[in-house]
Amino acid sequence: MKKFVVKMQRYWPLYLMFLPGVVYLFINSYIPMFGIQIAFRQYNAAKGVFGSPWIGLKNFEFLIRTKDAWVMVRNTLLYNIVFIILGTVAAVATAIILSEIRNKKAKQTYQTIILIPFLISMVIVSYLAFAFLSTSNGFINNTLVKVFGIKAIDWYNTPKHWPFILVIINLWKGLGYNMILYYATILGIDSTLYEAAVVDGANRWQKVLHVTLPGLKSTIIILTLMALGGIFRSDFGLFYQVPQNSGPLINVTQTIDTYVYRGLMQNNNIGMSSAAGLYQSVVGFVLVITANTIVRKIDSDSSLF
Amino acid sequence: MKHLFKRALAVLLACMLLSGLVACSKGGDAKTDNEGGGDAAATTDEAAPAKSGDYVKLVLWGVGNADTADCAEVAEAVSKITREKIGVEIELVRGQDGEQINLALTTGEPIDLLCYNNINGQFNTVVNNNWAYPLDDLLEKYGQGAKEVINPYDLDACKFNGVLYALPNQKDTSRAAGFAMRKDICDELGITVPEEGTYEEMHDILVKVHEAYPDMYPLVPTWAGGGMQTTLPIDPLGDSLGILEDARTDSTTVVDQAETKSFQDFCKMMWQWNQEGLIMPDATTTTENALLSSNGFAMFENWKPGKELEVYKGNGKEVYFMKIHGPIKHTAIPNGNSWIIPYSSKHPEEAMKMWNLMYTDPDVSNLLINGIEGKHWVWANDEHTLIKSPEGVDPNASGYSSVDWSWPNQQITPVWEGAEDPDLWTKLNEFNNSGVPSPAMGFIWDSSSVMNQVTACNNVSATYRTALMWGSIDPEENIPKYIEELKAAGIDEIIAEKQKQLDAFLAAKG
Repeated sequence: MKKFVVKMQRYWPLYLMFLPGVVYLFINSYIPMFGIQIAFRQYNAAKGVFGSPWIGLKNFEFLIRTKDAWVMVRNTLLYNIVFIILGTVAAVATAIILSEIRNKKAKQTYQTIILIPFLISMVIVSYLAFAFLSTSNGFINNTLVKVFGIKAIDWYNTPKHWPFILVIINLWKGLGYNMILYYATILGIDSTLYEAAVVDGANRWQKVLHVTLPGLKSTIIILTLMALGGIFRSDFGLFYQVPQNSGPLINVTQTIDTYVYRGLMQNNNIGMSSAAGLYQSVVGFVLVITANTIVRKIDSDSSLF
Repeated sequence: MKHLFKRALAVLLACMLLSGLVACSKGGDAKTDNEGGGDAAATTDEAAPAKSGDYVKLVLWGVGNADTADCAEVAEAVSKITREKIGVEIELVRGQDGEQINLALTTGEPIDLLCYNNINGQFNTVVNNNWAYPLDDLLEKYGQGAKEVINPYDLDACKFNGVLYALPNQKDTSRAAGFAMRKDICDELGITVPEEGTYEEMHDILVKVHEAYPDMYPLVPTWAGGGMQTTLPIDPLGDSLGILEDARTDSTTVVDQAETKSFQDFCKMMWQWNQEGLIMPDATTTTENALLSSNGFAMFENWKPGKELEVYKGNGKEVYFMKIHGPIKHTAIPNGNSWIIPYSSKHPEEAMKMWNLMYTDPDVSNLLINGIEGKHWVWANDEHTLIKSPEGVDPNASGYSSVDWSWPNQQITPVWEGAEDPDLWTKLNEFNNSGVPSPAMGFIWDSSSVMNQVTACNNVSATYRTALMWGSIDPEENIPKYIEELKAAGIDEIIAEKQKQLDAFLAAKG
């Protein structure tokens, strides 16, 4: 306790800086936890949260009885795993390539071009996608049909193409931002290491392999770990707006977030919606703890806690 | 000690991560909770500022496009009358979509009168979610004028478990379904449109149009996202999960629509039409309403006296109608598109007084329906029985669209010029009385005991139904899948429960 007081006296400016974040977290994350109980009630708007009857695990039971729960968990997990792996590889590769460019003007131009998609709202992206995929006026169908003579594809009613479309859009959109973090790390690598490598006779490829990549290791681990924590979350806009909420695509575009949204806004079944949300949080929590434990076993300096 | 602190910090961080997840995943719910929790406090707070001066301010949510400024102007004009007559002022909001209304009602936003037309499932959804205030006593006390106007037969359709929750609008309470198609194109191609026809005749017309105008969409959705006024003469029995296949017969057997022959044949026909290029390719995903106004030729639409004019007001194009079936009547038609006093209203008594005035006061009704004289409409004749758009104003872009059926009483307002005759309201009532009633007329489905099955089945339907009905996916392959998934989601339990309730209803009716 005494030590705590001493610490406070010494580091109070740091704690003060910490305070707004704590307040934000409390308001945004702790207060809403009050709503967890809705998952165990049959919510009735007129009676309010406290007046709604308890129904135990019935909401969860139904989620699991239909294939809904399986589909949304499968989609959320698989998409995120693909996003994490491809996203990291692409971002690291682009960062390395960018760092090898000598011309400063060119470097800045490329960086800006790659970053722009990240700044575009998903709703606008969905219309950009529509401009490509629209059955009657879309760019792809018009070129495919007119130039190559291939049969037009009814994109918004054909689920099999969508895993690829979503992955491509996500990569295109997220690349710029992910890359910046790696690029910044690369700039921070001690240049004497490269000089030493050159003295030892390393070529470009060897420099990347033995200096840059090891230098990026902890950044990659931390970012992947953070991404793992969000593996049960999904970008709502990507999975709801971009497929234009098209029914036949639901099997490949339904994630936990879109399910929660549909349950709340369209089916008015808030109980099941909350059950899905709680399920997402609990499994996400377990995943973060597990991932962190594994990382700590391998390399304790890289773990988050 | 240091070690302990580090560990405590680790736990704290873990908790924060968890809470972050909770917060994100439940962003929508969070609003619910906050408002739910703050409700008790809000009640006392809001009652005070709701009154400006000595008047209670009522919030009305109506249907149709209107600019905020125009709504405010109309509200002020209405308030001038209501301040004097019943001591209230109003605030008017129009054009909220189904999801916005859902959210507002779920979170208890204080609304005093609301038209539930845009809510998916309409009256059925409203009562099963307990969103409406019971009206029996209020109607007795403050709604005598409305009670005189309303047909008691239609009023019965607004009761749920014996309690009155809505009042039916004075609009079409029967429905005859068919196609509306553009007059200019028909005339140009020499197509004669029969008053009643078959799908085959419609097919021939669409083919002709497609050949003459390959760039035009022959058949388009009635509203955005694959909207369709069904031409199948079903009684949806509330939520369409378990229906009566043909409301015109005596059969009271509840069936799964996906398994009925009429539905399957319809899907096969639409698939065929789609293959022939007769249907707009993006029909199920388009975000456009009023497609007849741009590149569409025909759409599924209900007919009633004066409907040609209504389509003209909405699309700016004159149309011919071809009916597929004559007028029928089931519970959801008279109680559709009507109004409620939401449970969250702080002033239900004043709201009922206001509602009564909307049924009985021609000036109030006319202001709310047609807007301000000189700005949104002008008299078209000296007898003041017909109105029209002011010079140079497009009827679907005046800033305050006239959606007459969505208001309590259109029948005390002037008729728009262009209707076949000024005797429109008499014709409408004749039409209403001509509808063949479904054997289940008046039955309201209580889904509370199978709520989760209903949600699961709705999720299945979201995947298949619109796409099948627009012929976007192959029925041979997808109808069996649809049926199977509905079964897994519990449609049989829903049908059994619905049949039980329906049988009890019929027995009580005698």
